[in-house]
Amino acid sequence: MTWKPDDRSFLDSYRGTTPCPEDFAVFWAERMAEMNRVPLEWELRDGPFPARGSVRYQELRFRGADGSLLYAKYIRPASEQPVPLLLHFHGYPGATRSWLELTSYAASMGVAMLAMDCRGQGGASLDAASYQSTRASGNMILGLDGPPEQMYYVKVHQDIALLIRIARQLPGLDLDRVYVNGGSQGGALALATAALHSDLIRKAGIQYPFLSDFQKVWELDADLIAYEGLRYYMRWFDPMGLHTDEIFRKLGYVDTINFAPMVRCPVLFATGFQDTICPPVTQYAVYNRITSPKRHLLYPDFAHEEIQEFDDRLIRFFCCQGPDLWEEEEYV
Amino acid sequence: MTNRTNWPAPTCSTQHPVDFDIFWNTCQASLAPDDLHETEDFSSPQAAFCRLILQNGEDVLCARLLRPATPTSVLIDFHDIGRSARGHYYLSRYLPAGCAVLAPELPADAAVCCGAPDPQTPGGVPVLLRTYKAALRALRAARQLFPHLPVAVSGEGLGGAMALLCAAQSDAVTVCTVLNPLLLDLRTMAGAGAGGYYQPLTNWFRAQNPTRSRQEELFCALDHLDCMNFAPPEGCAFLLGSSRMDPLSPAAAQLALFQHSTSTDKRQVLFDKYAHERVNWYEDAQLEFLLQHLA
Repeated sequence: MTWKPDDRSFLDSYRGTTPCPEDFAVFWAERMAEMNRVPLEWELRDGPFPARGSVRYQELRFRGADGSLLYAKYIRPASEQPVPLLLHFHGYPGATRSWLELTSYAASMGVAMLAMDCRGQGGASLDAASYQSTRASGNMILGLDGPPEQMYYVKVHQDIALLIRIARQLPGLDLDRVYVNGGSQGGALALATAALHSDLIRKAGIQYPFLSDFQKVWELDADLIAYEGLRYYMRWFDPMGLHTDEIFRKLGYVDTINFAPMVRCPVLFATGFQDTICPPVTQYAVYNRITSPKRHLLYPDFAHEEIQEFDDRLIRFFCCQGPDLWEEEEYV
Repeated sequence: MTNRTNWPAPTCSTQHPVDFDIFWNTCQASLAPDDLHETEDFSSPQAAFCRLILQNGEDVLCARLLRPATPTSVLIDFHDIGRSARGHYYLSRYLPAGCAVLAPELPADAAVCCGAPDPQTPGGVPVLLRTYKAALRALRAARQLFPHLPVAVSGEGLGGAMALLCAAQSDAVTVCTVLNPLLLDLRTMAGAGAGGYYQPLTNWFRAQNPTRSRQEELFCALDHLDCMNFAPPEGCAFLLGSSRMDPLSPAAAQLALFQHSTSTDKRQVLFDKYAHERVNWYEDAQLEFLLQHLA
């Protein structure tokens, strides 16, 4: 289904189809509390590039709660003063982008940036967990047959919680200015991080979030490409649709639309109307559930792709320290 | 060179025109001076993010310009076919290497660029030559804005050709980083039945010269624009990223281009399973190269 800006009256009021588990908040409070009890094991080393120029490149390796060896790129400006920290999340099923690409955060915004490779995807983070489910077609549905706390994306969010605990120990960071950013899966993870760590995250730049409104994706037959795992799962394990309520309730624990109301920070949000991978209607569901200050930038001719105008907007969004976040172009 | 058996032998059909140097000297000399007009979009402590207009008469060339406080070099980033100049966020990736950054908006629309040929005109395809001249104007502007600073050039696809052109035409260019340059080995790529990006040339032959009796005349003109004749010289550090599966920039010719360069500081990185697309690992190689040579 293609959407046009004329569909706005419906889109602006749409709040999602996937149910929210009754114990959503309690569930996640428990998952985060579990991570607060995990002993941290981490190491920060020089990255693959010499300490030259105005940024520093380092690699962070740390253990997940289940022993998985996880990896993050860390790029920071060479600065005597504490700098803001931006947590960047990558798309699915992928890895953190090149060091050169990620340099733009430090170079344009003056922020330190931590970018974690999601476990078991295309990067350096390994996944030692065992999952109760089929493994066909990627990580999206891993663990769907077991208890919700063992689902893949629950573990990813717990990895992020450990990453944040480590970030709090890194020198030279201004922990009053911690931001999140990402596109697609990265957008979903960034928004969920802003929700689960609302005491810490001050701004969120979100682009076409994945993992959003799973049930609507399924109903639209948009369970393709990135959401393909959902189609495989339903064809094999619920071909007659007898268990959709249960399945989507469980997926509700990791659905971005259910994290959205927990976000407290300002959100700059982008949607390309030609997006056939993360349907715009599912993105609207996320956006419409955010109750903190927010802006939705619409790009009628763009699909699930780099939108450089939005990238440039993010420079001003993250740099701006003035009271009028959306209009003012003051920089600190 | 590579000893991987799935890569072709280095080979390229491009010829070196006897009047090549005269052709390009004449092109450069014939460029009318540009008036430069600069406006600031916004600034941060890291840089001023600006727009630059190069204007001579009614011919206007727009560019993005990033000005850090104390640049030690200037990098010109040339974009590929089918897209515009990169945005400020993207271009800021070069700032830590000490670069000011200039990114011109080339007249490089995918449908127009390899457009109507005219074998009797210089270069054989007027719109292409105009694009090449725009690259030279950008180089001139960079040297005007940042005199005495070394110049680095970077580009992908058609942008790669622009980068190679600048590296070949100016001693001021000391670093050239290129991914999958086109137009390369035009005699092979634009041969009978060529489609895709080269379809306009095929269409012209079909309509104007069905027997291709004028093919050699056109190819002799196009040799002046072929990347093979812009291999970076001795004084220019050269990084070439090559994707084996690129249908627009043939792997064999890229290997030949690398061999042909007389640069004494050159490196080629090979990507077996990539096509005409961004490559994470090329970008990492590029960062390492730029830090090594500029920072």
